[in-house]
Amino acid sequence: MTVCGDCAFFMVEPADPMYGVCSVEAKEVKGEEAASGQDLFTIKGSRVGRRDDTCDKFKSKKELSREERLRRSY
Amino acid sequence: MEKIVQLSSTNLDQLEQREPSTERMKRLKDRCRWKSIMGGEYIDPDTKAGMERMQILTKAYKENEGQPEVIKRAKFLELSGREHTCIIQDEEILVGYHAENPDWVCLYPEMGYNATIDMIESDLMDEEYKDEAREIAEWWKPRNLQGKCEPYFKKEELEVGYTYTTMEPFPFALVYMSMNVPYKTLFEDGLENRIQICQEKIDNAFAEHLHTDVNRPYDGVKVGEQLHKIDNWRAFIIAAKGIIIWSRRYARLARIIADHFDVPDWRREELKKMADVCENCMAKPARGFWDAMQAKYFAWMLGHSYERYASGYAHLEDNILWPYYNKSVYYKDPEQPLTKEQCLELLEEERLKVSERGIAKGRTYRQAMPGANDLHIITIGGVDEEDRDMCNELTDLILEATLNMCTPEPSFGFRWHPNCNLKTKRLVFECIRRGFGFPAIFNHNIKKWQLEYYFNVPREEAARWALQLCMSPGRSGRYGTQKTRTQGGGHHYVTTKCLEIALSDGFDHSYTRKQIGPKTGDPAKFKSIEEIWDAYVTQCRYACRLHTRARDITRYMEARYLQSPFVSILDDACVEKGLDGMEDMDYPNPWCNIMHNSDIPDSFAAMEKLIFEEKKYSMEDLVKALRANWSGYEEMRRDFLAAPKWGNDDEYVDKWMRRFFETNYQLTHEELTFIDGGKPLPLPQTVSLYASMAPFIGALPYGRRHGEVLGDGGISPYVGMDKKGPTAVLKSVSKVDHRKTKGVQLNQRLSHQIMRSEKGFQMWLSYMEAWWNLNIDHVQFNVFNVEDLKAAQKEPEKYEDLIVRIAGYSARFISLPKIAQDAVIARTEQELGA
Amino acid sequence: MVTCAECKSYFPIPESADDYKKGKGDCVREEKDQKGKYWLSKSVMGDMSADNCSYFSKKLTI
Repeated sequence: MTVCGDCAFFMVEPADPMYGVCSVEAKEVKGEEAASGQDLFTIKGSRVGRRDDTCDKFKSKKELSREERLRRSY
Repeated sequence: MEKIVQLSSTNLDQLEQREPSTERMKRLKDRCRWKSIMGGEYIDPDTKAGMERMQILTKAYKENEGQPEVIKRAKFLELSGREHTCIIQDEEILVGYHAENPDWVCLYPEMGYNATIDMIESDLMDEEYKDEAREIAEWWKPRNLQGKCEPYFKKEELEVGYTYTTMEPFPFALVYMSMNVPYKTLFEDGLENRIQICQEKIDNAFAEHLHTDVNRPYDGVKVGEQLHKIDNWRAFIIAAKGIIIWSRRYARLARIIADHFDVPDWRREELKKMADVCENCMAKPARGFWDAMQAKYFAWMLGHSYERYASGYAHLEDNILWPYYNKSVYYKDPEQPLTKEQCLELLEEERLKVSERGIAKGRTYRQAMPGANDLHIITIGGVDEEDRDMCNELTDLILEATLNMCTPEPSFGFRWHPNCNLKTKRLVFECIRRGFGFPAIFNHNIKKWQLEYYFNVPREEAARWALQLCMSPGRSGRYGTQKTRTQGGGHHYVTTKCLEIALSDGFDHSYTRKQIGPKTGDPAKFKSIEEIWDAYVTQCRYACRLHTRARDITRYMEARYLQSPFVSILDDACVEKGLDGMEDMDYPNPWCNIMHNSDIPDSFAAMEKLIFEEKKYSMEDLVKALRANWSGYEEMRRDFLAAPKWGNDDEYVDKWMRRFFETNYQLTHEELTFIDGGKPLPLPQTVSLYASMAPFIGALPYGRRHGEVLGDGGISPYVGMDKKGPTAVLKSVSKVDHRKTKGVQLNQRLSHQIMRSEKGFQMWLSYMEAWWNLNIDHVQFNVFNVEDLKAAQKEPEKYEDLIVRIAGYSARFISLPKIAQDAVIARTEQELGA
Repeated sequence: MVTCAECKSYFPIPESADDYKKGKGDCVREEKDQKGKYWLSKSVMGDMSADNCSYFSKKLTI
């Protein structure tokens, strides 16, 4: 059974490895939409437990290369 | 020697091109074992967590059960000296590494459980080691800093303290520290002399107090006072002897390679010289520049990466190394003759060794410093107590090495004063206009005054201040230097999150979905901007106080369980008093970082204008819009975005920044007293936390959505919001009182075309003159062509040497996550002369 | 049984060394990876068994 910790969108939280930031809503925002007026990558995070059940947006870590995962992280 | 090579395709081709001064340095740079981090992970998959430090540490503690804690710490160093793997890489001149493989990092189970187990359970550790590593981490759990501190907090406080919302996670869970090693003592005395001094102290203690002389009175109070000191002095001796053994094992290794392995003749001769340096440099006073550089490197490696973990590379390099450079290069019949070129090569190699330092700090700060491996900031320049220029030939050589090697680390802070000579300032400018982002510029007078006024540092010492990490000045000599982050910083609260939850009665809707602050009232019912301000300040005060308690308890426990006998033996104050550096409370140098700053005046100006003056919207409208992350409220959001913004010399919003600074001063300096009696100063700055905290902070009243980057630097305008030119920014910045801070971080992006033109230097000097005359604390620069950065995002392999300034440090652009890259690109480019 | 002291990589610690101990030596190996060559030195006791050491290479004695 997969858990949030197995997901490509799971980023370990800074101070407690039993929790993570779900970054499934990370996306590019165009300048006209961004507060800065410039194109920006944004990461709207929500807190999940490492062992929480996965949702329907689950993506295995193996489906993204390591570099892709790191590049879209914070 | 300088090499001028024409490059063809970049916009840097107006500038003379630089490269490492020797073929050997080019080779070392090509094969450099970078340890940069992105998204909290090491970019190079060869970087792994080693076991050796943990194994030796645990063995030493188990073998010395029952001994005083400081003795156990010392025994750990002694055992390490005898048993830890030594590594010498081909062609390197400076040697030393803190793990058992040059690509690996070591773990610090005694510093925190969460951070340790995080690394063990990640890809950083190979499967074959995990079982043993878990066992070691569990053994340390009740014994480590985190285990010692946790009992003093309620469960709900720990829940807040282990997330990154209104405050930095509690220091005892972070595995992130800092210090300032007294290198000067090592160069001037050598460890053998320090051992002798400590032994004399012990002998004296026995002679004076622990005696059975029937002709003298017995004073039990004095006896009691000596016991702890004797333990410390003994620990200092044990640790120092262990370190001497370690350095001499490097000497032996160099000789063995020279005598028994296939190396070229020139290298064989060089290895024999390296052996001589390693044999002497820790034990005895430095004979010349090579001894000093190797001793400094060993001491830095041991103090910052091995005895415990500490960020930084705090020292006034040109000042403390000058006597040894002078001896080697200019004395007649020097003990250690070197040419200027050889010294340059050593300085160049230092940059690579720092870049190769792999450090397993806790994830919080791995995420806070993407693109780098740690904060490695050296201080140079400035004037002495009589305002005489302290820049010397070595200052210039350090900057030449920086230009030649083009690495983001170590970074530099330059102590700016009008009396610093133009030649050195020109070299500073050359680094900046190439886009390095450093040296960052610090107002020497403000920093010196701060140490004298707030921290009673004597005038001569205050004039020789050095950065402790990226922004804060501190002592840098033989006496009373900062030994741990909780003596200085180690404290911060997050203003944006405090404002967010002030607008939701202390509840965090956007991230944790929990009550994380006190109830400050239903914001929809607030009738005035003052009510909002009061609620915001209450949230800040709660976060500040809770974090202060965590910081102070961390310091208390560090003094009892995480001593640093090696670094302490180098401090005259520690040896004189018989106190470990962690417990010596006589030299507080505290500050409190204030995260995300322009967001607050921008938010309050928008609310004041649109809700309470123009009454176009109600508080209820705002609360709903923020809860919806502005979705469905686009027109309202545009209005809030269009409200006056900080950085445009507009008093409407600038008054809010002034009030923000005054409030931070009140919340910290006026209301807090730290465990060592120090009264902290606020230090607004963010490193990369304006990007890495974006996921945790919900929508804000100035128009930002959840997930967008936050306010940059400490006083920098929000990206893209400064529209009136660099003078307007400086004028806004000058309206706050910089003397009521420990530092104020200002990021500015300057036009690459002007900076790289013939008139660039003169125009930049004019800017700097305006900056100095406005009595501003700090400034650091981005200079880049945005087309280069966008090209680097598409083809990173072609832009390995592209460096940018983040905030407080610089990084290789291609090593940054996208959110940080885009935030750098978005910084407003200011035209000089505007 | 072969011991560390019989290996080419074993170098006894000289008596003059601060960490001298009878029978103790340095195990020095050359390693190479894609980033370059380096040498490691680890402390070993000469009488340790080297039966399971993949780096063992018998010292030639004349």
